[in-house]
Amino acid sequence: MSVTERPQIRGIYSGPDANVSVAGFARDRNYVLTFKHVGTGHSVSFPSIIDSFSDTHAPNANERVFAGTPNPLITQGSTGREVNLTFKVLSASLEEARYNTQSINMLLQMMYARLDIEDGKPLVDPFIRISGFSMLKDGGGRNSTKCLIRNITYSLDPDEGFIMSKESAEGELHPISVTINISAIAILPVDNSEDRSQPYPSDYPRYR
Amino acid sequence: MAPYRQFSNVQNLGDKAYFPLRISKTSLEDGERETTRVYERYIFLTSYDESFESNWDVGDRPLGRLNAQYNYKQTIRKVSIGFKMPARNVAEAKKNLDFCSGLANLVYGDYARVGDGFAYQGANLKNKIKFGNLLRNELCYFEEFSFIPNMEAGVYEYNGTEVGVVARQNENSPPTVGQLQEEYFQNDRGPDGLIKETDYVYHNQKGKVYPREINVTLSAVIVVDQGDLLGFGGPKRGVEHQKRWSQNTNRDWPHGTGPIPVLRYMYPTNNVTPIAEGEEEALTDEEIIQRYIDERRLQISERGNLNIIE
Repeated sequence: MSVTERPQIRGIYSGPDANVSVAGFARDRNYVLTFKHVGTGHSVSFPSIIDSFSDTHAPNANERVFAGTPNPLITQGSTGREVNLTFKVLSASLEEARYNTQSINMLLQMMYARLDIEDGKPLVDPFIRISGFSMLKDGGGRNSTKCLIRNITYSLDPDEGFIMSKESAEGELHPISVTINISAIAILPVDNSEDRSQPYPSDYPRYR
Repeated sequence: MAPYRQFSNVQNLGDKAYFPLRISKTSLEDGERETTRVYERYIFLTSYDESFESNWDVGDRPLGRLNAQYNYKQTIRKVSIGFKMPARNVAEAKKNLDFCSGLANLVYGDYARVGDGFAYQGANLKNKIKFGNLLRNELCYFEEFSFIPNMEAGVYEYNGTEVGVVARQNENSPPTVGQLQEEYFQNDRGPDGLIKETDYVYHNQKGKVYPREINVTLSAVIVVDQGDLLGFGGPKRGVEHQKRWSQNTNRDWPHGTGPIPVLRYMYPTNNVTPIAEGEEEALTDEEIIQRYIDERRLQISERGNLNIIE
């Protein structure tokens, strides 16, 4: 009989020197940003050192003006939501740097789909739930936002320096500071409750 | 003397503590990939960016419908790397230029010799790039190479000043500074030699200049080798292990993490028993705490208390 494996849940760094790193501070304050791969259930967390955040709600609309009418004729289709999030991953020791590199690997892997066992083609699309940032919530009791991440950029800052090691043959370079930028389309939550006059939750989007 | 590679301080430090940027040209014959040429230097990194772009088909959204139909197509990994190449002497400056010539060459398409002419084979997908644990000998397509000599840093110049008054045998005039420095460097360089490594600052080629510093940027699309798949599950994993990373190589991806073991979902699966939902397993403390918090919808307050999320 086949069994289903548990997903991997990866928290923030908790090694012996965590108290002197930003991970300890983040843990104390519960500033923890979590990404969950919907197709597998794997999740990975980072201390939430947010550099920038934007949440844009823009209708897909067409405006036309006519002579003699005070208002433009507006034809609105639907409204889309785009999220842009930049955060830093900082490392204070080789151990933490390796831990963070592994966590970043996991996040980058989440950009890929769950594959078909027969032909290797995408089977479950790589949607990701982002949680842990108080200004990014769907409302309706959810503490996360389901997203389609269009782009993740991984940038290291050479001016901040690196942690190097040659313990392995290929050598290791771990940046002290990595900046990760995420550009995503949010999937809008649907609330079909009978008492709702709009199809989304009453407190959507929840910023506080 | 052994061929000169790079300034000795850089070379020694690099050999001990760093790793070079290595670009390899390969050929694929009878399904076997062979390395045909290698370009390798220690570089001074100035920027490094990777992007993972996912491509989706976005269906039409009928009027008023909240979400469109999104269908995933693929994810593309791109890398952009910027670096400086300083030169402490003429020899190093020449080596830097040779290295850059080799890299510039990679951006051009793939051609094959057919009779007296060439047949264009399309995009050149035969190159590999290696930069320590960040780029692990990945097959790639070079999108752009940019070569910017820093003129502010200066150049190594020709020096035709004659040394002494006596011409050598079979020569009409005494040797020049540039000529002597080239000869000494070629035949007897070193702390106790005729010329020190940093004293080779003139050459004997009229009209040529060799930059003391070059800035380079290189952009590439990392491509997946034949038969390789990126994702979770797939044909290389058993039915029970469809949540594991598809490559099944016991190796972190995309970046190396040195000697530490891979995470559980990356383990190779030919010798691991799957862990069922509800079955006990050895979790790290971190995983246990995170699971507890997730399952009970808790958050840790500033004072360290656990509260239920509103």
